[in-house]
Amino acid sequence: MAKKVIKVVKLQIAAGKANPAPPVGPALGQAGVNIMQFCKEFNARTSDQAGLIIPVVLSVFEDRSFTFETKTPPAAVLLKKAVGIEKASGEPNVNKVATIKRDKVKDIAEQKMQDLNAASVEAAMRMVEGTARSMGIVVED
Amino acid sequence: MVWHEITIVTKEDAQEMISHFLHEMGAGGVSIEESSHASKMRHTSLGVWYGEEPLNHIAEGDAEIKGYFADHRNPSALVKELEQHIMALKDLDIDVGEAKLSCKEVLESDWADGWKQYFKPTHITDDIVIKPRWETYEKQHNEIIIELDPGMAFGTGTHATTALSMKCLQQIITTGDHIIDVGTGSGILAIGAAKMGAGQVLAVDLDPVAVKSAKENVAMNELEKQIHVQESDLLNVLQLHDEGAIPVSLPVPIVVANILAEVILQFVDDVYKVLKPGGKYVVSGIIEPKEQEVVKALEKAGFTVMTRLQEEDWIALIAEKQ
Repeated sequence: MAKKVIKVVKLQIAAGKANPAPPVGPALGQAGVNIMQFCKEFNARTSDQAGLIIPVVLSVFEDRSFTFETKTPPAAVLLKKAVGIEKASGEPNVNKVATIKRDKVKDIAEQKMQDLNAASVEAAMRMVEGTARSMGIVVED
Repeated sequence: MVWHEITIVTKEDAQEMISHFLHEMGAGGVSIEESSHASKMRHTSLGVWYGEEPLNHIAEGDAEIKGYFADHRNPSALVKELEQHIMALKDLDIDVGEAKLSCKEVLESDWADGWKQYFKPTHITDDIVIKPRWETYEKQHNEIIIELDPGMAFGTGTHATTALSMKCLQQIITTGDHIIDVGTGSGILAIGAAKMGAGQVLAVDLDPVAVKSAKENVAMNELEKQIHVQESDLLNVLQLHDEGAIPVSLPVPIVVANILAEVILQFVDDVYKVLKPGGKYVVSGIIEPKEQEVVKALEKAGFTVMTRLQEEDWIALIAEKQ
């Protein structure tokens, strides 16, 4: 049976640990989705990635049933992992905390490509580079 | 608990950066809605379709990001900190658009009940009907009606794992059986078991929200004399039994656990201890890729898997203690 989408929302939440607290509760509850049902589904499917923040795109249908797709971790998480830092710079324009090679940025952009609205790898790279700069990570050739 | 919801309207391309700031500032997670302009690439397989009207009022190319902070003493300081981060993005020539910020208080009551209007009486087996407290339903011949208000606990019956557990219980319960329901959630399986003819049922859960919900549902179904709800894990049940504090007699003939594979794996041996020889363990909440891990753990503990039911990619098993 064809199902009409009434809402699409992206959540960035800890793998295996969804609960009815925000952002899950408000995002789903206001759309009429059974919150605990989503939590059980999400936790079962992401428990192997515990400790990571996982983006999940949830589509809500007219009858309030839903589907969701988990995506690659946020660019900031991939960048931190790539350069080996725990925390980004609080003053990214003054205080630089790491450097990353442009090739590595390209790898991350390719990894993220399918989940971004970017039309090309170059566009995805611009977004990842922007994220790197916003974290005080210097991109070099 | 009071939550402060900080909303930022920005450009889609800046969403990852701003979400990252919110995570670093301690938000428990963020939600993002992008504009739903018709030009957006959409997944429309399996009969999924979009209407002509937009899904939201977010301008094309923009995204609305929300971050939540629990019981924060100084929300205006949070807003200020985020403003500074966003200013720094502008200094780095990153287009953040209007970057309009707002902050408001939200309460659980704002979102907790929204889904209830879509929860209708549902047959979860041929003859078991889940009736939401606020709905009316006329009982048909021989049907078992479970009245329910799950609140924020898991278990409305509409999920495959609950329906599979109920089907397993229907296959094995004989009148007067004592049963332990581990991870009872809304109490739905305990109530179902009692209505199928079980004797005493002990329903345990570690989550106080679930315990409160289960107690209310047990009372709503007038089963307080038969179902004892306890905030506990299974190990503690053994202790409580020694103290004479629970109504079921150990060992029991049936234990049911509809949780998740990772949790179920933690107490397989405890279940073995509380079951009679020949007793049945109904295990549900297992997603297909985890099935073999659970089966191996059951066999290692001394169980034999007798029955396997599947709905979508969820598996429920009935294992017998040898």
